[in-house]
Amino acid sequence: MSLRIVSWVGLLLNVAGFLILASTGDPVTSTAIYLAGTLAIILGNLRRDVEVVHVPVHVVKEERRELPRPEELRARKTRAPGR
Amino acid sequence: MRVLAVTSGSKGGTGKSTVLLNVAVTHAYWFKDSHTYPAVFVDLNMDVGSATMLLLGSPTAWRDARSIVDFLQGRLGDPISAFYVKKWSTEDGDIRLVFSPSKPTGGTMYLSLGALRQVLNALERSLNPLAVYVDLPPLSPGHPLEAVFGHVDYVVPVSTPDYPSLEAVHHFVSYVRDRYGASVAKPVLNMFSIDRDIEPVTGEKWAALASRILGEDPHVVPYDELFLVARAALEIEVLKLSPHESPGVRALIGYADYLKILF
Repeated sequence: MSLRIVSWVGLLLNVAGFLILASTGDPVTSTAIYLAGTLAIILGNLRRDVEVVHVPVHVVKEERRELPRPEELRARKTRAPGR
Repeated sequence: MRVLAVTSGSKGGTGKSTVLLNVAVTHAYWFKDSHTYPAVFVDLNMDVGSATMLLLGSPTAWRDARSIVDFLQGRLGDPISAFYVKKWSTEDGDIRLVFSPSKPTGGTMYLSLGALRQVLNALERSLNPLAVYVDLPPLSPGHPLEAVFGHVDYVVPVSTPDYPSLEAVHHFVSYVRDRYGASVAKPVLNMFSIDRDIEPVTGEKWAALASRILGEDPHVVPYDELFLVARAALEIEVLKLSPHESPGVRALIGYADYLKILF
């Protein structure tokens, strides 16, 4: 939640930068505030993707066919075909 | 006595020998009480045939084995002396399969219809088998070994689910049917992946595509990892795997059952 507030503050600083430029004509102060706002927006958004989302995990057991080894097959008794 | 020959046209590695050998062994078992030697397997591969290696049970025994090739090339006087009997003992009695191993010929082997007739007559006279199963290498029209089809009652086409294989089988089977008048058994679509049943170019199902190209619904034999294990062990699938554990064996037993009605 705190990160989201940082983004909103950044947006306000952006707007403030424009207003200061419009009202005072001071390019240095307005640009500094604008850049600070932009930085805050970036910082506020940077960490969003690490928010932990709980997704139910279903473990699917892969059915593996147990194959005999060739020597085990050789050792088997000979069977009547089809039996 | 019926003569069956397997073919994949000019394509190798489609599982011809596996299909034919498993069918021959299954028939040898089913008809063991009515015939002393129900099944005769002839491996006419001109190199080391995989069926030969499985029947001899050794990776090297083929080097010293007699072969029908020795008779056809004039080194043996009596064709029957080129045949061996393989016997397996099971809880349900003994199974006997008569076979002639393959032999590297060191070049093209020319096969005369007369010589082959002599072999088949000798087999019928001496052993009176129910059927002779002929395993062949990949063949194109014009190959000297195609003379076999002059004595074949049923051609057994085996294809894998891919365009080149299906077209090669169709091409060659149409050729031998037209030239030699052999009947064609239901084709086998071998090594089929159940979960990849759609042909990606047209979006058609492989079985439907095979049916359209080959002119008949195929008998599907699924891809089965257990067959790789059996091959590595030099074992014949139906003699070591139960149909319950192996869908491939189940399908091959089903195909043997289908071929049985042709006898």
